Amino acid sequence: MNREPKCNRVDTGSDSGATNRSDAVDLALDALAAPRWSGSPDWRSLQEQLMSHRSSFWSRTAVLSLVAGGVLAAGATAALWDWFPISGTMTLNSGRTAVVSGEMSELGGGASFEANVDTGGADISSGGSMEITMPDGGKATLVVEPSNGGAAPNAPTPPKKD
Amino acid sequence: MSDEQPIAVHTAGVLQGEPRVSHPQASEAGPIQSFGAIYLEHYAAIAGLIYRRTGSKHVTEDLTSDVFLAAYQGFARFRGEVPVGVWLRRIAQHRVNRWVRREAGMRGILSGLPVVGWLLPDDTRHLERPPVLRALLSLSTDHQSVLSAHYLEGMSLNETALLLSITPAAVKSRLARARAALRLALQKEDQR
Repeated sequence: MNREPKCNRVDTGSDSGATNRSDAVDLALDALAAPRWSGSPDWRSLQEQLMSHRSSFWSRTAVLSLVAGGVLAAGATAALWDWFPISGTMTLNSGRTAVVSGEMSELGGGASFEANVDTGGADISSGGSMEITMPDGGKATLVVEPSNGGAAPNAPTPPKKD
Repeated sequence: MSDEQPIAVHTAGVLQGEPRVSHPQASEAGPIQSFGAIYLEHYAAIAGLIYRRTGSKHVTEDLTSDVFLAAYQGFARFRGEVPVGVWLRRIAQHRVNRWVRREAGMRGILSGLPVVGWLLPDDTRHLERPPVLRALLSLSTDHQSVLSAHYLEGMSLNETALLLSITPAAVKSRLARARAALRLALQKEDQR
């Protein structure tokens, strides 16, 4: 995975099909792929940041462990982390269950988030809930409302099409 | 993360040729020292990804540090489901996407104010960016992410699928939509 970018075109179908070097999109993508980062890693600086962050991180998550111990709207806690993986068995309002895995991530602004999960083909449109493990090991409950097809509470925008 | 598809299909798989890593906590050298090897190995790739997305050295330095800080804090939870390089790229994509959204919001606020260009922070001087980068940054973060992974970083369809937690087929269709959106954005840039 550590490698220089290369032109790696695929036939993407409806837009342009096969690569055309004179195509404006391909030329733009070539231009966008061209810049090279010339900076060098600064391990000492990062190490200092790691040391200073470590103490504040653990004190913060320790508090959150207590908060997340009960049933908690996942949105309230997700905003405190940018992203973390989730998995578990969702109990659906239809009476069925679905094994899901995916991620929670902040949508921006620190107040809203999005759950993005693989349902393994199960229909979760009826809504449901599942217990999720927070990054600090605490538990929270992710509630999927029946009306929005899977968006978690506080998700500000419904799914939109391209 | 998808703004358009809250429910995505996860594609299991492992990129060939990249070893999974053990937790730095398990190392006798100590967690921070062990994490240093990961940092040094992946720094250029992560910083390069961020630089090509943002076009700003300043932002790249900041976000790259953020990525590795987040990675260190999250490493205890990392179970090697994906290669560490993919995991770091996921974090990087999330950080860049968040920066894009925040910057777009800031631009919206600043556009209503009678400020002159030099008052704007470095990472909001979008008018100084190359037109192609402005076009890219005007797309949805989903489209930016898929174009970045496949075309800018040279990841294969399968690697991109693993990175974005979608199927290769979904990558292909998303690429087509992203290219179409980029074409429109480029046309708008031409008309500026």
